[in-house]
Amino acid sequence: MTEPAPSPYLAQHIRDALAGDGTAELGIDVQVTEHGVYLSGAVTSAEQREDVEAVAAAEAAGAPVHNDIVIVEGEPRVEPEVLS
Amino acid sequence: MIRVAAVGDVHVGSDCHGRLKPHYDAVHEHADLLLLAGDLTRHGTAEEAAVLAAELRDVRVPMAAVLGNHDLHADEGDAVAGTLRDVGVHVLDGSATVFDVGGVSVGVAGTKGFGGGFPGASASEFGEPEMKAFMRHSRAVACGLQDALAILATDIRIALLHYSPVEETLRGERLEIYPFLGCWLLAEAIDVAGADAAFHGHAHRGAERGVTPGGVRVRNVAEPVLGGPYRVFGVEPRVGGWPVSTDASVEQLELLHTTR
Repeated sequence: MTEPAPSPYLAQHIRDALAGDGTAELGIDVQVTEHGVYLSGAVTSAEQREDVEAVAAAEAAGAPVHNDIVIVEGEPRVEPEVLS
Repeated sequence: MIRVAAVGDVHVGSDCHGRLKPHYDAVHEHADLLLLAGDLTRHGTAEEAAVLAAELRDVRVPMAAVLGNHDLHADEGDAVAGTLRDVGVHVLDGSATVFDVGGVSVGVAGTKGFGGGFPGASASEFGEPEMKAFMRHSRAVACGLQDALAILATDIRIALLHYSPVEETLRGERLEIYPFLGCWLLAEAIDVAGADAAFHGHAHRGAERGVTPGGVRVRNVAEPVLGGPYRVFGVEPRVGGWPVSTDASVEQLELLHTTR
């Protein structure tokens, strides 16, 4: 028996859930294919990255969630760009 | 040359203790000012503001900030601003402050800003009450920024925003959401009043560089764009300084001469 196709609105439902009071993430990219849910973008902590995946998984109802989110953790850019 | 460190969208949550402090404790080695371009917390709670305040507590240069949409989400914006002010951050909202950096006066005017879109693809104060209220708010915050800039009789003028005044620094974001990321009214306000530079956040997938139609350099300093906790910019004092060019209320100006 084949799995039912995901809702055509699944990606948007996930985006709405991520923008909610839990994760409060408005900038995560969500793509849904026959292979599952793909998350990409940048967050500020490993815990936030895990929370985003958990929210997406809860909405995805069993579809695989692939987490390509990166954590922003670079160094300051201290060489001045002169503006004037 | 004055060195300005700027960043926005650090989105500090309860899980962020100690993430930024080592960098901000050392910012004085690289910059004379630290500017924060909004979305400083994740949900806009006083608790998250306290985490950020702890990260900023030992910063040894003057600081100014504007709030972003995230900072207002929990309806605790006043508490967020108050917590940041308690550690010396000048939180601006249609207002300005002046820093004395080694005898050079640096005026920073700030506003969160709002959406509305850009020339040829912007909203108007027309239609439903909700739509008119949306654009009236956008126009009001732009006017506040213009007035705050215009009263700064300083060697350097900087505009600090959360929302973007130009489209160029939004390149990389989906075109359909540009009206939610900024408004042309902010660029007009900056150009009419005059400034040496403008910094904003909000557009995590945007580009770093832009310019207003009037030639003011705009930089998107959202942390995801910078890839790190801040970027340093050099700004030279304007020859002869900026003249005052408005009759706006002096109550908008928060004067400070710092010796930090």
